[in-house]
Amino acid sequence: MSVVMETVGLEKEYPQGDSVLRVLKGIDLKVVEGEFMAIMGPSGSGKSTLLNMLGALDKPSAGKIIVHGTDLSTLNDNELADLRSKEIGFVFQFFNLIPRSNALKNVELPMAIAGVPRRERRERASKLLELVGLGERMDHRPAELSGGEQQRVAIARALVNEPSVLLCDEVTGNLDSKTGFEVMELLLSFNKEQGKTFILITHDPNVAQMAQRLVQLQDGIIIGEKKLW
Amino acid sequence: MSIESLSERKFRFALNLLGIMIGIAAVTGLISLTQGMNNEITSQMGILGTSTITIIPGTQVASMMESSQEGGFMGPSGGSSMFLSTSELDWRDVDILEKMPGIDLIVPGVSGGQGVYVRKGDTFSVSVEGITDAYFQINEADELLEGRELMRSDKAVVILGYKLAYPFDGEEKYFGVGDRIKLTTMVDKNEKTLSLRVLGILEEVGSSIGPGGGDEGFLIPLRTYEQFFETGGEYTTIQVKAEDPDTINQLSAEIEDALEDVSVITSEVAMEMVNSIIGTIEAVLGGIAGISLMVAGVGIINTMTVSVMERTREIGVLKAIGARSSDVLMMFLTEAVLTGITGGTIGAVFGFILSKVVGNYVGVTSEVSLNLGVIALFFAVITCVVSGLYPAWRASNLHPVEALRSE
Ligand SMILES: Nc1ncnc2c1ncn2[C@@H]1O[C@H](COP(=O)(O)OP(=O)(O)O)[C@@H](O)[C@H]1O
Ligand SMILES: [Mg+2]
Repeated sequence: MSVVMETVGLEKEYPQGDSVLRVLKGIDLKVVEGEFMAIMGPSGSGKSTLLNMLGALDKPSAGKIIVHGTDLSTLNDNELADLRSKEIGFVFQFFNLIPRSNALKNVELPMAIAGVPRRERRERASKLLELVGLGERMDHRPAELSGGEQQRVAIARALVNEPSVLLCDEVTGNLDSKTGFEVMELLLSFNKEQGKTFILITHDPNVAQMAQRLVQLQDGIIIGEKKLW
Repeated sequence: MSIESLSERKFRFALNLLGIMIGIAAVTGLISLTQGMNNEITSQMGILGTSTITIIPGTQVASMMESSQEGGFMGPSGGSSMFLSTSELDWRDVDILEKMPGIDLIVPGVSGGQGVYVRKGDTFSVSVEGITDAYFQINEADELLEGRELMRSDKAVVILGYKLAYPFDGEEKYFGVGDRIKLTTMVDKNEKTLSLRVLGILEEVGSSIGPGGGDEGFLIPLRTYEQFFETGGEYTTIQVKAEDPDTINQLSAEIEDALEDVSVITSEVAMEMVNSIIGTIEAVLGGIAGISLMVAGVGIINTMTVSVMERTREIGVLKAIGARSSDVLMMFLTEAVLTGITGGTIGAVFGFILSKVVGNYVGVTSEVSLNLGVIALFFAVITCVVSGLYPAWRASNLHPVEALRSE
């Protein structure tokens, strides 16, 4: 199994007054192709910071991030954007859909950015929305959808450019436990059926238990990990 | 993408649109009006012909024209002093001109006479001009619709401006050739009346200014005018036609030397003077229009900055799903360009309509030109893009993580 993402001695600090706030203090992590990894840790332990850097949204203070064998520090901003467009799909806690656009348009957006022709966009977006169970809701705006439905739209949006890795930041955090479970089932099905790699961060142990591998983060360091299936 | 976000931001968009629209409407409206005015005056000037020299008493006009040629129309010699001339033109001047070489025709004329006449029981006032039989040879643009031109032997006759015969554009004829009109005036507190036979009716020139009183004047024989208004033999103008149009500048200089205290106007010089006046008007109006565009630009900076702030999180999302900074920049600039195109187009159309309406009201045929429309559109887009540049740049430079963390 090939390594999709790797961090070596990853550190991140933020200036805080005269001193600095050290959020990540040396993370060494390997993500293998096709695995479903959960990173668990208390609030403020640096999970989102780590995920954003894996997704090439932010740059480390020290250490390396390697995605598909490429050291991200060698890429310029446009190349990083293109990497996010092609290889990475983000799903957020608060869905972050474009409120003015309907479900279909929201799912089409990453393809528009990637320069996919209009007809193909429509086709792929509607197919994917049917797959996540929203075939009947494509022309609804986010405000007209439930939280679970909005998160399904967001998942479709993250998948539509066929990335190899999906980065999920507390995706059940804003949902009740039943809906959260359904969303997790959906993500797992994409992992099993399409072989997508998932990195999911959560502070909810019940959610974390559904992952294949569980990594424990605390105060900016990995304090343990175990394989669950 | 941006079309979509546009349709949802109707109100803010409409506000920007309105600003640009008003600015562009002002620009196009004002310019097509002055352009129309320019056309009108130019066509009036064109009547003078390229080989015609007009001599008027006094040197003030001449010095004013010199100053206008130097660029400063509103010089110290401007204003109304030109009308307070003490010098005069009379038969002696005609005599001198007759002895000069290179002159084809000499047409003395006298204007400024005011009288009244009665039509169907109502009294109307009218401007009267005295002309000689050579008048029509020099003022070639004055064509007769009916009747005939003046002959040397004609005495108590009148050639009517078009509107005096057809006040409602041909619908109803008030006077025809052969009709009699009684012209009444006051000279030295004595009422005088003269019965005139209609000799001819001029074609419509579309204006009440210009030689012959335009559409609303009386042309009568010079001798008749002199006796009736008791002018003492003074002329208000002498028109001279050069044998060769190419010698006109030299000839006018010679005339200026030969006759004392006169101003010599050629169509070229008159045109320069008019252009300089119109240029001043255009500069002032252009300034006003420019300011209104600037105000619109500031409005766009403001609303786009608000829009960027409101959409900060969205910009973070866009970057997370793969948008480059340049994509975000283009999104906002596209919005600005669309504002410019829409506002510019509507504004230009609106400005043209406005210029027609106002032109109709003040009696000027405004000129609606595609060129002006295109230039106005160009300025609208430029204004929007320049105003949108900074907010769009700010949006494109937002840090994705920070943008995503924002509320
Ligand atoms: N841009 C930033 N500037 C300053 N501090 C930050 C910034 N981003 C995150 N932090 C801090 O880093 C710590 C970890 O944040 P985060 O990665 O969001 O934690 P988690 O996702 O595990 O809850 C928090 O204390 C947070 O306040
Ligand atoms: Mg977090």
